[in-house]
Amino acid sequence: MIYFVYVISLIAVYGVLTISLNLSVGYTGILSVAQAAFMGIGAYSAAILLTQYGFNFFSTLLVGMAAAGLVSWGLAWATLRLKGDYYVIASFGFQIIIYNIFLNWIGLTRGPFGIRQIPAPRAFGFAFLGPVKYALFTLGVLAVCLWVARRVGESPYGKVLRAIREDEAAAASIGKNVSRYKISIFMVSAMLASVGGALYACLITYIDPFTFTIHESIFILALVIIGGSGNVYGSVIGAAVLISIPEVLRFFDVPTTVASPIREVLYGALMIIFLRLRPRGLLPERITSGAMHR
Amino acid sequence: MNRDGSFFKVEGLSKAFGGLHAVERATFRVEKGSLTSLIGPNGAGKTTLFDLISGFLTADEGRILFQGEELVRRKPHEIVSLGMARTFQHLGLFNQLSVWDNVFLGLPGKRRETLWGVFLPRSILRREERSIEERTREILNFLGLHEKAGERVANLSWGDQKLVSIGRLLATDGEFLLLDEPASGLSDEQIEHLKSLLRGLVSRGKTILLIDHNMEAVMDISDWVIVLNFGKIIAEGRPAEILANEEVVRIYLGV
Amino acid sequence: MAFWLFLQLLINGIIVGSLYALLGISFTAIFAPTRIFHFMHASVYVFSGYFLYQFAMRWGWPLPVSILVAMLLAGMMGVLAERVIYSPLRRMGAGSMEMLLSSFGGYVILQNMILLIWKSDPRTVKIPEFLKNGIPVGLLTFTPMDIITIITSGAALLGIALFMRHTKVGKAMRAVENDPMGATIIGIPTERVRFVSFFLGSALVAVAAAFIVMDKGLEPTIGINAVLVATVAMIVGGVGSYSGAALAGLMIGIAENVGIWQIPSEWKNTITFCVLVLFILFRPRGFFGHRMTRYEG
Repeated sequence: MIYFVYVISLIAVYGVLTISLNLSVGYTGILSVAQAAFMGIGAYSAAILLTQYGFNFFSTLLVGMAAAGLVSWGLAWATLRLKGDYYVIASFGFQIIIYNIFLNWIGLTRGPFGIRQIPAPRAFGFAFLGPVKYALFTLGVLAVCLWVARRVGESPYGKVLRAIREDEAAAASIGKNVSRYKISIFMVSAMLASVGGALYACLITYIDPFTFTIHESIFILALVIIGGSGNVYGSVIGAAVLISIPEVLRFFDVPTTVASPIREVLYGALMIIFLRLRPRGLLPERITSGAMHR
Repeated sequence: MNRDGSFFKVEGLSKAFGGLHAVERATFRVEKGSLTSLIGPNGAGKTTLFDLISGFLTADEGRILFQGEELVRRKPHEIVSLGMARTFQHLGLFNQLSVWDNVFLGLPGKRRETLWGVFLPRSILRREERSIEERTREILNFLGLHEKAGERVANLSWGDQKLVSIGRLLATDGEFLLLDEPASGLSDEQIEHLKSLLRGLVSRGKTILLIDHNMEAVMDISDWVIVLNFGKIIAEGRPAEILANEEVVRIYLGV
Repeated sequence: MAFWLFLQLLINGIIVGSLYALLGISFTAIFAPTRIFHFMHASVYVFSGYFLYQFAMRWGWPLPVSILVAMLLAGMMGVLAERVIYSPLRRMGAGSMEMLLSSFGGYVILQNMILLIWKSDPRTVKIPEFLKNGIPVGLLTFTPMDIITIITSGAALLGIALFMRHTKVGKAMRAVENDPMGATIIGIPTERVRFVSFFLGSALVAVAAAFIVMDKGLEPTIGINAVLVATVAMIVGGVGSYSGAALAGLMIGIAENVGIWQIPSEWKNTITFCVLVLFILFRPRGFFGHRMTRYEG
């Protein structure tokens, strides 16, 4: 039972991560493979501040978001004028650089040894101890993220993002400051990813650099594709399905060393299949057309 | 005709890609309230010129002056805010969005289109929206697209998509409109409709610069014609003068 | 004294660099004619290492044979990726984003197949002892393996250069690179060019994999690093320039080895990638690459 609740929390965390990436990849068409780097920034901010400086959880969230926001702003400003493939390569390079920093800046992150015994969050004197309370907490955060993503999607700002996704030059040709939009959404995406990372750190209570690699970024990307590029509900469903698969397999006594790769092969295959058959994923985004039929 | 270039002029504009001189020392003027056409064989540099004027490319040398403002080195969206807008040969419509949305997005000055606007209460958003909805409806009616307003652009015929692209252009409220191959892919009937549409816009005070290969249409509606070949302007004048120009004829007969 | 140390590091750097040059060229051979950022190249690289391990260590085949068969299988894998994953997408009119994403998917699948088949423990491919004996030359030391490595990579590089310049297919590949539309118009068999491009690039990466694995050991995660070096070499050298990629690869090898003299070794990876990011930002066409034409809308 406790294990089931743990899985729910994990799904909620990955739901947040997937939604965060969906904002930049799905809504705006920015193909970033650096989401794990921002997740890691949030996770390490939380881990370090909670274990060494006794911060409270919400402050660590703010610090993580600020750090992610700053770093993403710098990255976006520098790279967003790059075309397609070159942008991905820069994003790739950035992910590796951040990973190396996590790995090698031992003074800050304890490098490969990782950070242990990350405490559960406390807020307003109320500790979210215990798996059930934490699960509710993460589900709450997920609900907030869903709300934010939906508001963005349905807003005029969201329409412009979609326009940018369809044809950047055309968006510029009707007066939209494309750089400003891309930078702002990229920052939001990074900040949400850092929230996901902080939640992850407190859930697993131990983090090391090996979680925040390009593999993780690709996994989150797969969840976006499978759940539906541009559809945040699909993101949650996709996360739910793919996170639970190894757990289900484990139920049938399949060892982890086999269950995990099987899950990965499955999502890799699903990614390819979905790209071929339904480039827009499981649940295609609903196009709201604004007030017009009058 | 007062061709003093106070409305729009280009002086000594050049752009090269490696060894290829796409545009070489182009100099011309566009008079306010006129319809000017840019013609020339494929690869003559017409679209490059458009890209330079609209900010999608930066010139190596030369000046572009629009109502006194220097345009070289400005970003496309800034140029739009000065009152100039363009279409693309490939249209560049937002295919997954509706006709309404495509035109609506062209309207300028919407404060609610920002990230902060996402969290404004709906009532405040509605107020701004109501005033611009009217404008969008006007444009759709003017172009005869009102019945297709809710359709996804990807589902429309090419002719209708062309109209949407013009609608989006009009929405920007630009005084100076650049159209890249507006007649391509259209039937004769649609071209006639387009011709009267464009002359209609001019009579309402718009200034138009267009690129096209349809000589008949170009000569019929233009006040002024500029001929480009290998990146250089080789002739300009009224349609009748251009038709009589031997060099132009020779170029088009592909010697 | 420091001079000799420097020289030794330089030579080590050249040896590693020649393998990196191969990586860069293998990737260029695929990216330049097809414009596909073939991330699965990482999987082909790792698989080549595991093939070598399987043949030479588990089945006891002689090393040269193992390497050649691994090259062949790698080539086939590359072609398979093109046929099964990229071609169908291309025919559907999919863009480079979909190609890249599918490439990631393929990478994940292949990566985990390695885990399922060979587990995650590090492996080694043992080379005969006599090849590891250092031969002193003045104050420098070489092993026979070093010499074989440099001869092999040199031969491979030369082979590619000759192939590109003097064979019909090689010339076709360069034509497609320079002007894909024009090439189809004049009747170049683009399908065959793609086949050769993927086969060649993959077979070459197998060579690099073989020597790097024999030197440094084998683990499932080495693919990412390889594809990153390959990408850096390709970009810094200039997309489309084989000699540029080779030169850049060489420089990366040298920088890595000479660099450790002054910089703690954990950071050299970071330095390499910072160089990559800087180049992409300020000189995307690298040293020798073709000038990028106006952006494609």
